[in-house]
Amino acid sequence: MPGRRRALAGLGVAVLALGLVITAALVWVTAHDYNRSEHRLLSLETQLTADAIVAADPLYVEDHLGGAVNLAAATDGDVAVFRKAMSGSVGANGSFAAASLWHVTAGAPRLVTTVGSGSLLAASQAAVLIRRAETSTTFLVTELTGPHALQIAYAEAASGPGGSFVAFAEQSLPVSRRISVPSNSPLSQLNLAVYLGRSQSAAALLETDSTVPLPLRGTTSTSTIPFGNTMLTIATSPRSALSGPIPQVLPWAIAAGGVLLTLLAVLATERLIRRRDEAARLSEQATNLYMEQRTVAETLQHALLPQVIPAIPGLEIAVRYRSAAERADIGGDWYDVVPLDEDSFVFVIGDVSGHDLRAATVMASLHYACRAYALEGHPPAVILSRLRRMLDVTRDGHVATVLCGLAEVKAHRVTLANAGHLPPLVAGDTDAGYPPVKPGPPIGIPQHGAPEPAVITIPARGLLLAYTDGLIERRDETLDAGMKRLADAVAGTSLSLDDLLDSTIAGLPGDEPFDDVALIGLRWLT
Amino acid sequence: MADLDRSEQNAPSAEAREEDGITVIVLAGDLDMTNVKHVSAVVDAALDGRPRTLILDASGLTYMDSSGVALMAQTTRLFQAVQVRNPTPIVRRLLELTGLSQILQIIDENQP
Repeated sequence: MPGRRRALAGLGVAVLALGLVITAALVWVTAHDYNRSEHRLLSLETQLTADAIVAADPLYVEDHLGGAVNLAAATDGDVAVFRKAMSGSVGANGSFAAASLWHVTAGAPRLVTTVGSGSLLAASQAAVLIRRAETSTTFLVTELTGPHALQIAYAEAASGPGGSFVAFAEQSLPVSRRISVPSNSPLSQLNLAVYLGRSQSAAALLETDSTVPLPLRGTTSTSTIPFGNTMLTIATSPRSALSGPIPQVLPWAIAAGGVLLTLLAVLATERLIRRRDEAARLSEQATNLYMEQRTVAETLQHALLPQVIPAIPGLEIAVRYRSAAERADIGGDWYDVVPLDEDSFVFVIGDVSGHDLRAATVMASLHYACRAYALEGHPPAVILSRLRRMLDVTRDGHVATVLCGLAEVKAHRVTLANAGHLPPLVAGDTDAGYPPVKPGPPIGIPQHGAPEPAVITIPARGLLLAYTDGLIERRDETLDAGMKRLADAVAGTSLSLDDLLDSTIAGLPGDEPFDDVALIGLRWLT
Repeated sequence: MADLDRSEQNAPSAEAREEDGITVIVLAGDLDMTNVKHVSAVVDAALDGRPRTLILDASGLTYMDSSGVALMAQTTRLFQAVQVRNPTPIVRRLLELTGLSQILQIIDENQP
């Protein structure tokens, strides 16, 4: 069954494909969910960071620098007031390294005072910035680059009765631009980069704590916040899974588990397929064995029956044997024809009860004993008496019905003896009937004395048909009805002997008989 | 399988009982080669009491083939006397044709 095997191999492939598709779908869903959750957490943390920076930087500049320049303007450039206002935010106390106050009159700006040290602001630069600061509504942000330092400078302007004042504050940046974040800070999970302006270029980088090269790649989130006249851009990426290690490895665990389960399912399918094939093979074997056994039984049965029926002058002889349908066991029916001289012969038909090998061996011994007694020249009644001594139902478990006849062809005479067998049918040209032959009990039951022989005369071109009960026995019907049916079929027939025997066997019901059928037909040619 | 189905449908019942100290086996249904062993077992069981006479009540026996003939023939060797009571025409004719009517007794209670 290679076709079925191919189909079942296809089933294995289908199971594999289905398992992998389901696994892939589960992995995609979990991974997608994980990524979405990571993005959401990252975006939340970025927003928190931005809020913190707003509180720290732009407001700080507005408060301290803006407050100081407004005081300076209101006091007409009072140096002490300005210095006092900036003292809290310059040097070790604050974020600024240095601050300066400029007075703008109609001519050039004039430096009023400076606080702190390390200013990188040159006078020419200051002049440009002061003009821009005077027209700006917020503070200006500029980067200053010195030989060994970096600064951001803030400029804010204010007007008072004595004219315009502009204050600068300068904030030092680490040259590496690296900041360190304490490990207990919420920011410690993030790579953080803060840029001045919208561009995430290396030049615009203000500070970072990133452990990976910039700009950040992969899962990132950015946020921009206003910062004076420019912007701060905050970019973040997670250092490790923000939602913990389990959601991160879950897709991989599902992938591994799914593939493993799929492979197990494929193995189980293959195993089922192999078992089914094996069962089919065993069933085929059992069928073959049964057929073989049946063939052996039939072969044995046929081997026990005469293969060649002797030719008798003036007579046509035909025999048939039909084994019971659909049975593996052996029937006990037999027939025999034993020529004695040119004109006479003995014919026998018998039926051993039971349908097993033992019945067949009983049949064989009766068959050959019967033949031996006939060849010794005993008449039928004596043959049956002697057979009766051979078999005992209490010992052998079987009985046998036997009809034995001595036929003298030219005399049209048949001498019959019967042990429990059905009577023979005798037919002439137009009629058919059963001549009375008183039966003795079956062989296997003791009987004292020989059975009564019956001598019958066969009409011209007459027919004698001896048979076993399988030919006429039917359910819900007496034997007489079956015997009449057979007689009606034979009376006045124009069929040849062979065709007649074939037609009587062919006329048996399809599902019956259970029993074997044996037939001998003798037709006188004169 | 057809034969198995049929024997299931019309399996014979064989029931042993005592009537005035005589063992009676009441047979009913179809008795053929597919189920004769069942009836045979009932007969064997009845032998345990070592009765001298066996009555086979065949009034309900609707069909019998040569297997039944063999079984009844065997009972005539196991018991001193075997009576077949009220056989149906089918069974009665079979007993006559096979010569069993010579070795067992057929009793018709309906025809005195």
